[in-house]
Order: sequence, then structure tokens, then C-alpha cells
Amino acid sequence: MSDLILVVLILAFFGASVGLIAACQRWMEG
Amino acid sequence: VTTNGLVQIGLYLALLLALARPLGAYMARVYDGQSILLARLLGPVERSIYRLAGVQPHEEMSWKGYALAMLSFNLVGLLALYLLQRLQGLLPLNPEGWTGVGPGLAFNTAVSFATNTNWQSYGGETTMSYLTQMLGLTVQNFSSAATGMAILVALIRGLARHSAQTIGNFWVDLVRSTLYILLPLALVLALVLVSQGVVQTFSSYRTVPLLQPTADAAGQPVTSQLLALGPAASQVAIKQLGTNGGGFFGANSAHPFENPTPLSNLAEMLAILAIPAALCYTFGRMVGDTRQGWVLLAAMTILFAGLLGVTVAAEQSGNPAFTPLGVNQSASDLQPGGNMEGKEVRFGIANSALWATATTAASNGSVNTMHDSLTPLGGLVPMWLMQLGEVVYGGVGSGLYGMLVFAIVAVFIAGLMVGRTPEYLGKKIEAFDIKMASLVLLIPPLLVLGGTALAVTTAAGRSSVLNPGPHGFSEVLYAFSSAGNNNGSAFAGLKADTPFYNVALGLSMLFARYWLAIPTLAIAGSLVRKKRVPAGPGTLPTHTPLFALLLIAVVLIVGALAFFPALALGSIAEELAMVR
Repeated sequence: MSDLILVVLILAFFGASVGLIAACQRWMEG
Repeated sequence: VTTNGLVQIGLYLALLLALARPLGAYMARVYDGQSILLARLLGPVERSIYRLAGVQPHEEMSWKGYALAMLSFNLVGLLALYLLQRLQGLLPLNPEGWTGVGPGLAFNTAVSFATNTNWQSYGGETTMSYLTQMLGLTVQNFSSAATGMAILVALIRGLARHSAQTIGNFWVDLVRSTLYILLPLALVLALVLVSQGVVQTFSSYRTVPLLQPTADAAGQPVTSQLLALGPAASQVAIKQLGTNGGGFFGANSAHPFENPTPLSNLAEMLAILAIPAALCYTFGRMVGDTRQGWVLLAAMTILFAGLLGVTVAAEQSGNPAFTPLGVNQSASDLQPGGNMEGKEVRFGIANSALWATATTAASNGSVNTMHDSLTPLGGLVPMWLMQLGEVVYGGVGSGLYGMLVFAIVAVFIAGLMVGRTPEYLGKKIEAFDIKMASLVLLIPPLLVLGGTALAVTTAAGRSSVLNPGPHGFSEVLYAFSSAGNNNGSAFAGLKADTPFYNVALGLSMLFARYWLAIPTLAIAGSLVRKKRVPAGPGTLPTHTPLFALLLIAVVLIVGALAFFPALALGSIAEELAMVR
């Protein structure tokens, strides 16, 4: 497995986590 | 169970509980920014770090800002550790000349240490340079532990403050956790470990003559042995205190250079649970009612003692199939009795069972005995403790924030039963809080059961299983329970350094850590805005033995409902086969 794929995987996960923060914030505000 | 074993377990629990108040009170002072003796010495260092990093320590953050700071810090640490492993062959402090770690393993290990899991699909002494061990793995041991503590403190502030918007400053909580709590404790523990014989050196591995020469499989005489060395004590101290668990050597704390004596064993075991237990008192102090902390500590201790009893009894009973063969498994002055497979003679049954229970009650995962060799019920307990969410003391920070989420669910269930709006510490628990709590409770079972199902139904997953049948299933279930709860211990017997397991377990660790931390911080952000409601006749008191029992019941019922069907296919089937 190449470095590029794994680094992209890590960045994708953290990107999705930022998305989760935004989703929770919207959820909180109803 | 022998009297000797009971005395040692009793001593351990007494020391653990005796430490809770002084250490917990100290940590409360650290997080409340009160004056502490160490600040006179390290205050200039703390202020220099803020200046260098451009941090304004008095600027507080919303839950969103706090979560983004936590994520960005962890992303940078993870990528740095990945890079360090890949490039270690070109870097100094590599006396054995280890080449760069392969991409898949480097990914798994970087994720593992950044998420406070410390799952290891490698042997430290045959893979990692001293630089990687120190600058990469040890640094992550500190920073991942401090991250967990920071998230907990943010949640506590969410409960303690009212009608506010901010939950603290992540960078300040991170620095203060490291500088005033983890570093001093790790320094003291490392010195204690060195005094017991744990190695701490930059020397290369040493060839020594054998005291008792032997012969190899071909009959050739073997007169010498290569001893792996390295800066182990400094890493072992924080891997225990930070509930990290990743061993310097492959055999972890079963290795005589990592855990040489019964005294080092006691110190290392105490270090696993000392901070998680003491944080209960810290919580009580920070919310202004220490009884709230004591009740959580009591619930954790009851769960711990009960499950520890099962492990000790199972291991001391041994294997009934051996009895007809004439094997004497009873304890005497000459032998510990019971199941000694995979255990160190210098630790015996009680200290091995106690460690196995403590390391999985916490999110530690270090071992002084091989968990794969535990009896079926003795192995079920560590696996179930992880599956309960590691809230029985739990990981540093993560254990208590997990337990606080269970407390929120417990008051919600009690509220449903009596038809009142649930409240916890004067805060109304509303739909959003329960939705976030549900995420925290449901994500780990999804990762564990989904990951196990994927592994046992695909060729890529099954090809790593070396033991067919219920035990092989348990090995896979244990691996995903460990990764899906950020523990790091393993049942072994599973060839985990493959693309499938490196990626599947790596992703489990990432989701288990950050997708629980984010909803937890969201709960903090929601609670901190709320007004404090005065306790009324319909308020469920949360400082009573009744609440402790309710909390225990909720933890056990959620854990049993989610995992007993899977456990029935593994450990329970094995137990029934053994006693048949």
C-alpha cells in the first residue's frame, strides 16, 4: 500500500471529522 | 484463591483508592489554574510554550473551537509519527540500523499511538529505532493521554459552568496536563523502574554468554544470547501512566527488562489506574460536590472488583481437562497452581489476573501475561471490560468522560421511569444531549461487531486466523474490541500485520477515539449554555448508593445486550467445551 493512499485516508478521516463537528453544531442549534 | 493473592489484591486496591484523593485534588488545582508548587519551577516553561506557539492562554474556546484544536493537534502528531517511522533508516539513534517501517504498519502504528490505543502489530526491539521509540512513540504517549484529559476537563466545565459559551482553552489544558501531571509522575516512576532493573540506555544490543549453555534444533551448541536494550524506562513509565500500553519490547511488561520484579509490577499496575481513579475526585472538586465524584469511583470499583473476582477464580481453577491426566493444579508453597500457561512465574496467578483486568478496565493494553493463554472465562472478562467502553476507571480522561455519558443516560432512563425531565448536576438533559450520548454508546459496538463480522466473512480477514473454531473467532473479536475501544492489548494468534488488519483496525481506532471525543465535546458545549435548575422533589439525587447501582446496571445492561451474542460464539462456547 502506498504512502499516498494512506496519507489521503488519514486526511479524509480528519476532513470527515470536521464535517461531524459542523453537523453536531447544526444539530445543536436545531 | 490463595491468601497471598488476596492480600496482594487488597493492598493494590487500598493503595489505588488512597491515592485518589490527594492526586485528584492536585489535578483539580492544575485545571482550575490555582497555585501549585510545581508552577514556580515550570511556570516559565509553560509561558514560553504559549509564547512560542502563539497561544493566548486566557482566551477560552467554544466547544467547536476546542474540538478543532484537538483534531488539528492530533492530525499533526499522527502525520509526524508516520513520517518518523518511514524515515527512521536515515535518522540518528538507530544503532541496530533498522530500515524505515513499511507504509501499512507505519499507518497502523501512527494511528494506534495518536489515539491512545497502542495496538502493536510489530515487536519494538526488531522494528523501531531508539529515535522512533523516544521522539515518536513516547511523545505520542504523553500527548494522546493529555488529549484525553483535556476532553474530560472540557466536559466537566460544561457541567460545572452555567449560562456560558466556552469550555476552556484546549492548548492550556494540554500543556498543563503534560507539564504538571504526566511529566512529573513519569519522571518519578521511570526512576523507580530503573531502580528495579528496567533498562535505560542508548547502547546497542549486547551479546552475553549464557549462564547455562544449550543447543539449537540442529544440536549445535548455543553459548551466547543477544540482549535487546534501549531507553525503555522512560517509555514504560508513561505507557502505564497515560493508559497507553505500547511496550518497548514485543513481550511488553512480561519482559524482564520492562518489568523485572514484583515491586516494579506493583508500581506499573498502580500507574495504570492511578490517574483514571483520581480524576473522579478531580471531577467532584470541579463541580463543587465531591460526593458526585465518590459515587462514580464507587460504581467503578464495584464493577472492577466483581469482574476481577471472576478472572482470578477462573485462572486459579485452571483447566478441568488436566485433572484426569493427573496434573496437580492446586496452589501450594511450591507452585501457584491454576492456569500458569503464558504467565510469568515471578508474578503468579493473582498479579497476572489483576494486571489483565486493570489493563482492559483502563484503555491501557499493556500486558504482563499472554491474554491468549487465559482460560475462556478469564479471557472473557478482559474482552468484556473493553466492550463495556473502558469506563471502569478507564483511560486517562476518556474513562471518566465515557462514564459521565453513561451517567447522563442513567438519569435519562430514570427520568423516563418516573415521567420527569432528567437532570444531571442541575442541568436539564434534553434531546440533543441524549442523541450525542447515543453516538458515544453506539459507535464502539458498531466498530467492534461490524469489524469482526467483516473479518470473519472475508478471505482477507479469515486468512490471518491461525486457530480455527471458537478461539479463532475470539481472537478476531478481541482485536476489534481492542481497536474499537482504543485499548491495544491483543489475544495474539492472529497475523495482524496484513493490509486488511492494518487498515481495518487503524480505521476502528480513529473512529473510536475522535468520533467519541467530538460528541462528548458537543455535550459539553450544549450543557455549558444551560441555566442551573435548582433540585426539586422530582430530581434524582446522583450522589447516592442508589444512583451508583443504577449506573452499574446501565453499564452492564448496555454491554450485555450488545456483546453477549458475540461472546457466546467465542469465549462462552469455549468454556462450555472445556467443562463438558
